Amino acid sequence: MALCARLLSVASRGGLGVRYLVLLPSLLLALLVALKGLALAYAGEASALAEVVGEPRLACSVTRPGGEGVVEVRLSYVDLSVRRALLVCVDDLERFLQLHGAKLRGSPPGRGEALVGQELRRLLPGGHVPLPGGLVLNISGTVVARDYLAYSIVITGDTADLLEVDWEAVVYEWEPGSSSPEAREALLAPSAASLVDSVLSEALVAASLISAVGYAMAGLACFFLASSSSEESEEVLSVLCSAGFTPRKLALALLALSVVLAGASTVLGLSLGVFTPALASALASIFAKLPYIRPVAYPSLGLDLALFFSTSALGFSAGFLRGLSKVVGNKGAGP
Amino acid sequence: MLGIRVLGRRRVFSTLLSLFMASFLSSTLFAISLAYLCSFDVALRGGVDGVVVLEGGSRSVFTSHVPLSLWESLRRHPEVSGCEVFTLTPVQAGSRAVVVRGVRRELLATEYAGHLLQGVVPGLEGPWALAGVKAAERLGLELGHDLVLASPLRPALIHAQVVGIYSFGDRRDYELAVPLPLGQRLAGLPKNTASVIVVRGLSKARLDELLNSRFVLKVSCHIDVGGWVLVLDPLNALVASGKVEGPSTINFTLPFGYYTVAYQGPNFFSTLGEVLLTSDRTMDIGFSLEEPVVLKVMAPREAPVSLFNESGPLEGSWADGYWTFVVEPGLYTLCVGNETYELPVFGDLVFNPQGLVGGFELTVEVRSWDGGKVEGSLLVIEDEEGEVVASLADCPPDVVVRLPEGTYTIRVFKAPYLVSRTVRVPEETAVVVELPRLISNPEKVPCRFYPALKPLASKEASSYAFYAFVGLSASYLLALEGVLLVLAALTCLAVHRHLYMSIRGELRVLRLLGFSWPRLLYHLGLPHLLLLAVSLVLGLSAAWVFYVLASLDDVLTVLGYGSPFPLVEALALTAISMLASWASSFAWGIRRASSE
Repeated sequence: MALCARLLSVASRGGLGVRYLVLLPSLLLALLVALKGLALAYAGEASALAEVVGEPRLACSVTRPGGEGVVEVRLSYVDLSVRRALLVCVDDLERFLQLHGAKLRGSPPGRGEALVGQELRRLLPGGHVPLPGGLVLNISGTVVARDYLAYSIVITGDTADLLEVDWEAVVYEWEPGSSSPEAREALLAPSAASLVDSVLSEALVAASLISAVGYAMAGLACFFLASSSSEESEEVLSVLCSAGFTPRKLALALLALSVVLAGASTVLGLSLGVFTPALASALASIFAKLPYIRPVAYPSLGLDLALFFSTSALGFSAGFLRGLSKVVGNKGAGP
Repeated sequence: MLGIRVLGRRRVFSTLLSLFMASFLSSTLFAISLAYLCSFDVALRGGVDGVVVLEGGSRSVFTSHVPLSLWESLRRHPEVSGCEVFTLTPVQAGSRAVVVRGVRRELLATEYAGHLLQGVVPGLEGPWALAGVKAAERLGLELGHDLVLASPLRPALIHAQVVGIYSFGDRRDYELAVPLPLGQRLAGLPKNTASVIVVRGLSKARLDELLNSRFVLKVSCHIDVGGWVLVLDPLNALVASGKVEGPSTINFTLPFGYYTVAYQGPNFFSTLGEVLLTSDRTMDIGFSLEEPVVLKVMAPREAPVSLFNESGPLEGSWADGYWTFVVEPGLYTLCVGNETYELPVFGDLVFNPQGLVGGFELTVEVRSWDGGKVEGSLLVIEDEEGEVVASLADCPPDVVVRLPEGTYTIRVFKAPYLVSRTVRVPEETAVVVELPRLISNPEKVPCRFYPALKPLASKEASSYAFYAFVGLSASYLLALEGVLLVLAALTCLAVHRHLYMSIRGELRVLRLLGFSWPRLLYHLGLPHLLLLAVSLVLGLSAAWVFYVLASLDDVLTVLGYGSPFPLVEALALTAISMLASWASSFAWGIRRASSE
């Protein structure tokens, strides 16, 4: 304990080069905290964009969610003579059209009949849909829609049985609101909100990767700084050895010093990392008329600080011990 | 090699190792950040290069609305070497974002088909999609998969079948490509608009001048009946009109464009000419609906030539190798020998009934204004001299004719329309003649929304969207590069400082031996610089291997766009940070040691 106090006392008087040891890692941490804090703050601000779009009104999934009002849609692609079309089979036609905000001109299809999307209808001059294989369906009406129904042939289960179609896909559609796990993973339309989320998560992945490399760099820097610092302070360590402190005690004292330095770096780095971007953003908003983005103390900040503290403490310890071993070695091999 | 000997084998190894680690981490850091920035840049400009035309008020290429009529006009401009139109829509496919590019089917069938790794481009329009090789990997797509895409701004889903996987080796590999109509539907765009036009061959300044100028089209009409002179854009939309009561001159002030001038009278509609308006132009147009016109039929005197209309046969006279008929404007049946031709005669006409021998195939497709196929039309083909060389009655919607090389005017008569198109054989193999919608009230030119258009260089388009997207992103991302440079330099500084400290004793001895600092720099600094270069190369290589093995181009994406390892930029930035730290620690340390 006494040795620790003495070492800290030496350090506080500028010995052991602690000025660099604290300043450099804290700058690294400040940069990382600023990067991640601003990225998350930016993500928070950008999320507001999603709110402009409004709530999704249609959900689609390949797995059936729980709850009512889910329409099973079977799909297959067919090559007509005029264009490729989508053959759609639903049982609850009314609900299906309602989900898509589609209008029906004509009557619902019976057995051997089909509804045809408006884009397809103008290419089919007669009242029939000639399917590949010579089968012909009567057109009972036209669907006016803004999505895939515009180029679809819609039939019911009765007609599907008649045609013996091999369905290429089965999806489920419903109005969002259900909280089942399948519903949470469904494709939503309009998708702007989830699109913004996707882009932000892509941005955060990049920020996390950069942070990870940054921590590795911080650890490396701490190691070399501590190692060179202990070599630079060879005289101090030699005097302490001569004063009767065993290398083991010196090592323990240096480990304690590493922890103190890592703690100091963490505190200083955190302060710089939070307040410097705030100041920069404020200046940017005043002089460059850019929106002010307030840096946030993000949820994983504690984890980041702990990670940095551990990395730097480890780096310092390894560096100090390496330096100490050299000093002790030199002393042993002395004149 | 004193510097190497001073360090010793063990220290050289540890120096190399430490520099390698610093270089590896710096390179990785720069590669990740640069790749992300590159992806961001590509995503913001939708992966388009060259001079692009966007809507002036749009926030990005994804929200731009550009009229297709402008593309039709630009591609006819003689200075334009290439002109393409796209829709670009960021969508959700499953849980991931991807950009869907709506492409003209012709381009899909040529350029994209030439880069297909798997599958084929279908001949028919429809709900199908081609996937870029990177997008297919990211989204787990295979041939035949049903792809469900959610529109970003509308409650609309689009199903499309994956029919091909392509690889261009550029950013298009990160996209999905669909036929233009499907892209328009996904983007929620009307049929006559797209997201962006990419123009090659015209400079940005020239394009800017074209788009922002107004030109005067002076139409001198020699028409003997009352009606309307209409100016239609390439999509047959009315953009200007003027009433004519007889011979008169009308001035239209119009923006750059390819226009068709037409006449619409009571129960008659005829196109009179086409003009690419790039400067003030004058057009002389004329035809007669009341005054008699002259029909000359090239045939020998002894040939049995007769002309009929609803009221019966008409008299003709022979002179100078032609049978000449003076008739009222209208539709006539001409018999030459055993052949019968239907002829619309609304002006002086020369008919050479010898027919066409050989030549190149040309498909003529006649469509109504709403895209439906038109049957029973009358097709008249005129050569460059204005002689009618062929006439086909009661045509199906698609007619294949054979024509020798040359420029021809295809006239389609389908009451009340007489519509013309000029075609160059054999350069063009198909022509679509679209019958315009009759204008019910030509005095009221629709209050059409002309979006302000703005040509931008692709980099500008990116920064344009960059600033408009969410203000601070610009400064944030630009600052990021500086931050990372500092971060890398700080790490390298620590390594170099350690290196200097480790040979401090040797430096002192060398100084006592009389080594001046330039000599120390030469003997010690340069070998260490060599070590730096070796470690830089090793570190960069390791970073590249790490990047490839970890598939970071699939991980570091923006709207699905990834980026390959930015070798040159990462090398440059790592080298700068390592050299800066070497200069500020090692070189400076040697100088300080020599001056002590």
